[in-house]
Amino acid sequence: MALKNHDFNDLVRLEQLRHIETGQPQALSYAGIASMEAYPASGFSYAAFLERLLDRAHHLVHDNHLDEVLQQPEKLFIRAGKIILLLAAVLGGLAAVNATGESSTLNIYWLLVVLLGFNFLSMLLWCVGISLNIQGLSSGIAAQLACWLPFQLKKRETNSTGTLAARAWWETCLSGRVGRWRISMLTHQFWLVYLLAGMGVLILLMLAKQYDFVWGTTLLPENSLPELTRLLGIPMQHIGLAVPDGQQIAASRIGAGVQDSVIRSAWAEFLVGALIVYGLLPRLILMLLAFFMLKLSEYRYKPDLYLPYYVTLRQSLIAKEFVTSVIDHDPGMVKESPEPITRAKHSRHFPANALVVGIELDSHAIWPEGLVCQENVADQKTFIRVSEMLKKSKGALVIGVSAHRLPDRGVQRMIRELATLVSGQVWLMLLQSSPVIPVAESRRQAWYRLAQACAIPAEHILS
Amino acid sequence: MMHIDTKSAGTVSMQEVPLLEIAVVGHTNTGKTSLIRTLLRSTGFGKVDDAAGTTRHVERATIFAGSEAVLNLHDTPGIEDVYALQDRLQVIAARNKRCTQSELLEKFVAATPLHDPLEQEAKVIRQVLRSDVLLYVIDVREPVLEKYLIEIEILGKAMKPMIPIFNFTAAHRAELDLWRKKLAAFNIYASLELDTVAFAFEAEKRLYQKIQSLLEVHYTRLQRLIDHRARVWNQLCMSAARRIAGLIITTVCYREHTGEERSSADTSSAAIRLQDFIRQAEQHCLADLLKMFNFTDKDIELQKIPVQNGYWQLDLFAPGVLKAYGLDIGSAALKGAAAGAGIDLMTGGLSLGAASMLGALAGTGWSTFRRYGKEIQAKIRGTRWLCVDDSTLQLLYLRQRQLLDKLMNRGHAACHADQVSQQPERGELPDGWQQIVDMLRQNPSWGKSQELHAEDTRQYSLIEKRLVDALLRNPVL
Repeated sequence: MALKNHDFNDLVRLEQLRHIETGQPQALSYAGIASMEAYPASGFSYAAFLERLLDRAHHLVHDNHLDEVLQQPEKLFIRAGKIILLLAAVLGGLAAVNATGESSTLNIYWLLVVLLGFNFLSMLLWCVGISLNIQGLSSGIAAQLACWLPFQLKKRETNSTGTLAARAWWETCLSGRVGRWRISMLTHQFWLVYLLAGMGVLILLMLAKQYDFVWGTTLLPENSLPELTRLLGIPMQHIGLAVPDGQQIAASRIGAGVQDSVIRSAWAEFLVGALIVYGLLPRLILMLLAFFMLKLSEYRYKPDLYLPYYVTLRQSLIAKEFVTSVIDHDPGMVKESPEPITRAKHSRHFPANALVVGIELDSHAIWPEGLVCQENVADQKTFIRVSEMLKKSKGALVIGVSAHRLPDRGVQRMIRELATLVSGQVWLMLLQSSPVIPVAESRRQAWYRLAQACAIPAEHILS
Repeated sequence: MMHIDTKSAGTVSMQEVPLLEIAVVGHTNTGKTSLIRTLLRSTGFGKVDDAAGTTRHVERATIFAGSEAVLNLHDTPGIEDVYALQDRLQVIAARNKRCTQSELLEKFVAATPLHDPLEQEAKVIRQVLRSDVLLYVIDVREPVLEKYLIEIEILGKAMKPMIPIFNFTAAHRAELDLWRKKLAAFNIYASLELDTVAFAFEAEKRLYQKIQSLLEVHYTRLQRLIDHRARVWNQLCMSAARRIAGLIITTVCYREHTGEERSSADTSSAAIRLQDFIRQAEQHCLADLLKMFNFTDKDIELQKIPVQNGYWQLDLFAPGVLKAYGLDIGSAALKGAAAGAGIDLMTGGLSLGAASMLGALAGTGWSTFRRYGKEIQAKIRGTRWLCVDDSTLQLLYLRQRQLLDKLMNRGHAACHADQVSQQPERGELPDGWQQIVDMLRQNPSWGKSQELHAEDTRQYSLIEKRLVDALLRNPVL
C-alpha cells in the first residue's frame, strides 16, 4: 500500500495516547476535540484516517499539556544511553592502561586479544542473535540495562499517565523489529566508544612512553604468529599502513635483544592499524547497518489500526463510506405533524342489517360476534362487486380493516369511493388479528385520519 | 451526522463505465429506506417512520469501496395508489397506441404535474427509468394482494432487471413461501431474503452477487466492492471479538486483596469493590462495541438482550441472571453466601479446583515451583484474594457472545425491536474454558496490559486467539 510516510514519532505519540486513553480515560480533557467528531472527514482511505488521528492527537496533547509526559521516556532512554557510553569510554581506557601495565615491553598479541577479543566475541554473539532472532544474544548487557533501568524507575512513580506513556514508548520503540535495531545500535555505539577510548589511551601512552614490542608462544608452532601478522597486515597495507616485515618480526621474538626505533614504530603502526581495521571499522559498519535498519523499520512501522480503540475512533472521526444527496425534491416538504384525533365514544345505535365488507383482510382477522363479512375487497373484481351491492342496498355500510395494517392512499380512495355510494351511515371497524398483533397508537391515528378524510365521523369508528 | 457532498460523487463517476444506478422501490412502508440504511450500515440515512409516505423525495447514496465510487442507491417514495396509476397509464396507452411500454411510462412522468395525487408514483417511475436495476422491497408479513402484483407488472414495463427483496422474513417463513409462489407466476425466481432487522452480512454479499450476474458490465467493480466490504466487515468483527476477549481476560485476572484476618466487613467491602469493577468493565465494553458497530446508544433496544439506551438493564450479579443463561446456580449461591454474589474466595491465589491440581503437580520439582512459587508463598503467608467466581465468568462470556451475535446480525433499520421470545439461549463455552480461566487466574498481571512481560506475550496472545475464535465461531485448527 502506497502510504504517505508519517513521522515515526507521531505514530509513537498515537500509541502513547492509546495507552493513556485505555488505561486512564478520566485523566484527559476532551473539550478541545469535541468539535472534531461533529465534522467527520470525507476521505475513506487509511491515510486519511491516520491524518485525522494525528490531528486529534495533536489537539489532545496540546490541550492536556502532555508534551513533557510523552517525551519523558525517550529523554530517559537517551540519558541512560549517554551514561552507558560514558561507562564504555572509561572501560575502554582502563582496558588499555591495564593491558600495557607498568612494564616497558608489550606483548603485541596479548594486547590485541585484550583490546579486540571481547569486542570480537560480542560481535559474534550479535551476529548469531540477529540472524537467529534471539533477543537475548543480539542486545548486549549494557544496552539492555539502558532500556530496562529507566522503566523500572518509572514504574515506581505514582503518576500513572507517565507510566502508561513510558510503557507505550517501550512497546513501540524498544520491542519488536524497531526495538531490536535500536538496541543493536546502542550496543555498537557502546563498543565503538570502548574501542575509541582504548585506542586513544594507547596512542597517548605510546606518545609519552617508549615500548618494546615482543611476541612469543609456548604451544603454537614457531612460525604461526609471524604468519598471522603477515595475514593481518594484508588489508592494512592496502590502506597505506606500515606492517613489520619478516626480519622485523623475527627480531621481535622474546629474548631477541634490543629493538631499534624502526621496528618499534612498525609495530606501533601495526597495532593501531589492527585496532582500526578489526575493531573500529566493523563496528562502524554494523552501527551504520543498525541505523539504516532502524530507520527502515521505523518507516515500515504501522500501528495496529484494528485494535478496538482505533476502530472506535474510526467510527467517530471518519465519515461513512458513502455520500448522500436528495435528487428529486418533494415540493410540499413542509409536513407538519398532524394533530392527534381524540377518540369519540362509540355511537350506541349500531346499524342493523348493514352491509358488512372487509378491505384487504387476511385469514387472521377476527370479526366481532354477530357480524359476518359479506365480501372482502382484495382486488378490482371484488371492488366492483361490492360497489354493485352498495348501489342496490339502502342500508348502512360497515367496513372492516386490519387495525395493524398501514392505510395507504389507495385504501383511502377505495373507502371514500365506497362511502359515497352509500345512502345510510358508514362505519369503520378496526379488527384485531389472531394471533394478536400489537397495534401502535400511531397506527390507530392513521386509521382515524383516514376516516376523517373519508367523512366517516369519529364515533363511527369501532375498535 | 450526514455529510452531503455531491462534488465527490460527480468527479468519481467520470470514469468510462458510469456508476451502477440502483433504484429501491416498493409499496409504502415496506422498508426501502431501512434496506438502504442496512446496506450503508448507518442510521444516518433518510427518515424511517412507521407511517405511509415517510420518504417523499428521491435520495441518493453513493457507496464507495475505499476511495472508489461503485454505485448509487436511490431511495424512492412508496407506491400507494397503484389502481389509480394503472388507470392513468391505461388512459395514456389508449391515446398513444404505437408507443412502447417504457415510452408510456415516460409520457406518464412528463404529464404528471407537481401537485397531482400521483406525484409520488411519478417520482418512483422517473427514477426507475433512470436506473440500471430495481430492488423491489416486499414486506412478507403483508397478504399477497393483487395491488402488489400490479405494481410489479407496472415496474416491469420499464424493462429493467428487478430483484425482489423479502423483508421481515425472520419469523414469517410461511408467508415468505406464499410470496415466492406468487412471484413464480411472474417468472421471477431470483429473489433475495434480506431482513433489515435481523441482518446478516452474507445477505448483503448475495445481493451484490445477484446484481453482478444480471449486469456483467459492472462485474469487476462490484467484486471490488464485495471484497472491500468483506474485508472491512471481518476486521470489524475481529476487533469486536478482541475487545470482548480483553474484557474476559481483565475480569478473570482481577483480584481484590482482603485482609488476613477474616473480618466479614473487610471481605464484603472488597466484594463490593470487585463487583463495581466488573460492572464498569462490562459497561465500557458495551459502549465500545456499540460504537464499533455504529449504533448510537439511543436507537436500539437489542432483541432479547437486556440493553437499553446503551446500558445493561440486568445487573450481572442480580439473582436469576445465572438461571436465565442456563447456568448452575447452586454453587454460586453457596459461595455468594460467604463473600457476596458472584465472588470466589481464593486462598493463596488458587481457586479450590486448582488447589487439588497443585497437589498433583507438587511432586514434579523445580518447574512446578517456578510456576507456582509465588502462589505457594502466598499460601504459606495466608494471603487471601477475592476474584470473580466461575459461574459469573461463564455468564459474562455467554452474555458478551450473545451480544456480539446480535450486533453482527442486526440491520440498522430497526427502531423498535420485536421481542420475539424471552426464552434464554444456552450458549457454549469455548473449548478448554476451565484451562483458560486457570491460566489467567494464575497470571493476574495479564489483566493490565502495561504489565505484560515479553515472555508472557505468546501465551497471552494464544489465549486471546482462543477466545476470539470461540466468539466468532471460527473452527479450531
